Amino acid sequence: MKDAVFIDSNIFIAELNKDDSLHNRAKVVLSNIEKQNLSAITSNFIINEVITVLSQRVSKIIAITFANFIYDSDTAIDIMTINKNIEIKAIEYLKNLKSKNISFCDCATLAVLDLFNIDNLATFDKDFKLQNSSFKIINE
Amino acid sequence: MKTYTTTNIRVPKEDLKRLKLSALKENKSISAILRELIEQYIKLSCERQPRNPLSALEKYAVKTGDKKLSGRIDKIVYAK
Repeated sequence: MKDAVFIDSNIFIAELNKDDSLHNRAKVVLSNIEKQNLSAITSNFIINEVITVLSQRVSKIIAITFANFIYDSDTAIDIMTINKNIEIKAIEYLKNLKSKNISFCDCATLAVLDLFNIDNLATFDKDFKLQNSSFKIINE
Repeated sequence: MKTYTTTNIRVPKEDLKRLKLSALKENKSISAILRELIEQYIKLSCERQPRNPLSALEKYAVKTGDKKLSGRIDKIVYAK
């Protein structure tokens, strides 16, 4: 899907943290996604990471506010549920990737991009650049 | 009530073999799995109505004093 973009957890965290060195870039990324009319997609694994980080390092209120915003059916994002078939694909990535810096959540993201032919990944994670994949990284 | 129709698709032999195996393990029919995937695909690709833009998240942004939080997600979540 050329008109779709998968959004990684670091984009959400940078957007919600005014002091983050990547805050302004996250704003630009989200704004460009809207300007280009791309369909935003994320996964329940990503939401899990964002809620955990916000809850542990920012505040529970912000974590819950984010959860309410993202799960609101009117918010312009689709949330993929990582099911068993996606996990099986993710395990293939886990097996084949040499980097130890890659989490199972990252593998699930790669599996979603692969299975649903999503062409764009919005992330600041440099490890994704090392993957020899066909998707385009959006980070500004 | 939904009306169903039949179609033929060509898939790589190896994929079909693995699909059959997954279906067996999940106790689902291949048709049920494909219907689920088609539904998910249509949901993702269909034209959407105007919705709350993601940039609206900005109104919830707060000061944390942490300049590198977005780069430490794995450390926090997975204690890496």
